[in-house]
Amino acid sequence: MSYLSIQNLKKHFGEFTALQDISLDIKEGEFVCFLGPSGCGKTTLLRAIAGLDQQSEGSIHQAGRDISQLPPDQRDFGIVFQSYALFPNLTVADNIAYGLKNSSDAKVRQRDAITQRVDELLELIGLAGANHKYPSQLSGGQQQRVALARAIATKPGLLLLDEPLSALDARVRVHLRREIKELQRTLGITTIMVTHDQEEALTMADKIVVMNNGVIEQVGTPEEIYAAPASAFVASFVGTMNFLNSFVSDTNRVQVDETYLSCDACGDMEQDTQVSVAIRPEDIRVRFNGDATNTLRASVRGFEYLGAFARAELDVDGIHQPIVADFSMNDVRDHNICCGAQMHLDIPKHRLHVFREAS
Amino acid sequence: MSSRSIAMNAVGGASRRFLHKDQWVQAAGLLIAAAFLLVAMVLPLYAILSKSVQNKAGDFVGLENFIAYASSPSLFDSVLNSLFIASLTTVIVITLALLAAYALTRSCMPFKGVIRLLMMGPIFAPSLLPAISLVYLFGNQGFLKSWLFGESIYGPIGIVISLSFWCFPHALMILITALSNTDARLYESAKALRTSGWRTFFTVTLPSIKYGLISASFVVFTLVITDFGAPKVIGGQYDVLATDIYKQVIGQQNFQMGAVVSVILLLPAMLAFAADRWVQKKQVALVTSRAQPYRAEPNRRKDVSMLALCLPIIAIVIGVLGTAVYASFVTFWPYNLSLSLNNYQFDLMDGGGWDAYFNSIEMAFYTALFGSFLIFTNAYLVEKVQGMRALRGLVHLFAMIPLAVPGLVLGLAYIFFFNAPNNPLNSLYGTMGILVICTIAHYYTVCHLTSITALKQIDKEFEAVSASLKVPFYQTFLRVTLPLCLPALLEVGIYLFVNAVNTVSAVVFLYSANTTLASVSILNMDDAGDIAPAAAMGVLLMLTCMGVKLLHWLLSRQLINNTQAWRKA
Repeated sequence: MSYLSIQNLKKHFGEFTALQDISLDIKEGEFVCFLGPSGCGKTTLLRAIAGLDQQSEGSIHQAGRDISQLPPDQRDFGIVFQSYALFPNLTVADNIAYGLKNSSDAKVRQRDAITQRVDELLELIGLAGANHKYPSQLSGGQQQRVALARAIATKPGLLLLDEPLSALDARVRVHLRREIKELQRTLGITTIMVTHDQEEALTMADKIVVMNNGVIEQVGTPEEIYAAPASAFVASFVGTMNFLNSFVSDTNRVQVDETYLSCDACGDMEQDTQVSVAIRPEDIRVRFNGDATNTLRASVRGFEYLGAFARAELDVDGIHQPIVADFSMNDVRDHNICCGAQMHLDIPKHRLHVFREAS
Repeated sequence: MSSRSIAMNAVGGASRRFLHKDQWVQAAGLLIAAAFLLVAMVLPLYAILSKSVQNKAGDFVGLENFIAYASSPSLFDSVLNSLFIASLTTVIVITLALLAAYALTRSCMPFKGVIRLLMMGPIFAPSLLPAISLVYLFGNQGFLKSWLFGESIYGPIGIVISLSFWCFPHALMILITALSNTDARLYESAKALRTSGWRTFFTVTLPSIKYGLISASFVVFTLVITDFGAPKVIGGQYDVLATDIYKQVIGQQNFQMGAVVSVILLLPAMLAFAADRWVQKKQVALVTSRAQPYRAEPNRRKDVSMLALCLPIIAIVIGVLGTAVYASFVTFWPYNLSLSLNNYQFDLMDGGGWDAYFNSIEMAFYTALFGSFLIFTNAYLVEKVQGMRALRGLVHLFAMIPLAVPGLVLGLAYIFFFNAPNNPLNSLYGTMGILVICTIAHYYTVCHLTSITALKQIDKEFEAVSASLKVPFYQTFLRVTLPLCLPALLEVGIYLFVNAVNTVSAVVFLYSANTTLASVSILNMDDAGDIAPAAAMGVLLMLTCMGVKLLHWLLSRQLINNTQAWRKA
């Protein structure tokens, strides 16, 4: 039984279609990331769930209740924006208490109850004692945590995060990433986060929804998204990927220029179908012995030192398209990899992804 | 389609669901805003347009009135006169204001603050005041009459000088803003490429203030062509469009011809308005947020010559305003130069007496109070409400119209609309209420734009956050938005006050025996030959505005200290 169920959601802005036929189920307590480039519709989808932008067609159910036509103030969610949207003229305590004062529950509205809840939340976000400060006296990360506290103060069933970390600098971002995830796990609150940062999505999410051009490209765990991308778009958007134009030659072989590569995954495609064969740079190995499938000769054209590993640009015999490979520093030392070096490569066939060309 | 059905469509089209409570309140607010602007601006304008194509009996006659107008040489001359005066004044004002603004922003000359303050002086006086001063200086008994080499100040010379004087601060403000918005890195690049100062001016400075210059030119042009005070006082036999309307309506009771001249006066003002809008659109992308502000470096030769350029301007400001102040205290110019307060005994003169002064203060106070809240609330609804696109667009469009409508046209339009016997609002005619409504409408646009700008600077997600916390929008409006915009609100209030005190053009058609206004009484006293009391009243209004401005400055400082602690944090 899903907590949030979205069915056939569509959204048009005049001629422009922002969402085309989105269907999605989210389980209770799950941390879901909407991942995609800007303009892919992820924020539109979030705002439709919040009721801030009404969808053109389709329905949304939350906890068994049809909320499709409800205005935002009759839905059950808390929201945090990229800009924090803290009220600058109110203190931290007043910001957090903003929604509590309007609660329909008289017990929650009580002065003591509010003070207590505010203190509790400040404790939770590690800002105890900041009650009387103004937002501008806090750092960006602290402001974001206050915004988070304000959003969960009224104990909503759903937490929506709209690019919450994008405005922060890199170090704070990594730190806050862990904190938000931990807080979410402690509270067990169903959470949706919109982000364009794949690293953020991979580290935080239980489930990633990759979007592009108003459609969902793939839904899956971070491992699934990375290791088994469902489309060329997902493969290129998450992580780095080599793409090679090629043809299907028979059930488990493709032809790239003058070279044949064995693969696992093109069984259902007809011969001579134009395809894109993809492989991640870190999946290309230096060959020393072992099985002889997909063994290639290459020379190193460019070499880039990146600290923990090195990235080599390769000219492969029989393939006229550039290939990029990542080698660990151990490999680099053991095999003397440098600009101009000749070497043998091994491309594991179960690591090859084959995507039909959009043509 | 009538605006009412547009409004209904807008509400209906925003969503297919039931409107919930917040949206009802917002829709009602927007409808009230649209209704106010409809009654205070759109319908009166319609009335004047239809009047211009009717004969005295009220029958439709097409363009007959316009043909009659064009074939009357004396009337048509005013068109040329108006265009000539406006063009010449614009050239003079823009040249001087550019020099002054450049000196104020791009040099390190001493006393910048004082110089800037003095240069803004004319903005606090009605346009009648410099004209009266010029009469004292260069009129038949003026002590500098010989400076004119036998030419008369009564006519184009007088009009151009008074209006140049009066429009100068308006242009100065725009050009200072334009010059302050320039990216310093462009100058550093020019320097690194060893570009000469003059070449830098023509290749960097001028292009970057291009839009400011165009905008200032249109503002001055419109102010001049629609001004009525200065040509009335010092124009002599030299007719311009603005005085023609007055003469046709007040002098000859020829309302149709008044309407025709009004429509003609609308054309250049609307042209200027359209051009200004175009310029504003172009300007948006000019300065990026990453621009570095320009800081002038001390340069003795440049600073001294800039100061030397500014001194004559200041001398003229002090001279003209000082003459008016001095003349207002002189017992009987030029025969008895002893000082007295005789001229301030307004109750002994025609024109409304001290009552007129207090009426003006009352009118300005109400205009500032109601106007600022009304305009700000409307601007909030236009800027922050979700959905209801068409209705919000309509209110915004209505709010932009007043900028293109000269005061005299508006005043005359009010006569046609509110004085019509079948209008249920007829009872407003002749009251303080109509003066306040008319003045709010007259100065609506600038206040609207100021409010919109202030609102745009506030995080656009506040409304979404409060909805998610189940707090109604109006609570957030009162607790957050309004306090955040308090400085802008005060700014709007003071702008309305100063303009309401000094305006002549719109209200000259609308005051009654019980609601005479000080600015109108200046006109009437001047007409009756009581020029010294007219000067005295003008000085009084100027000092009142300066006093209120000072009060505003103190008040906003206090308010910022007391309620805006978060700003300093």
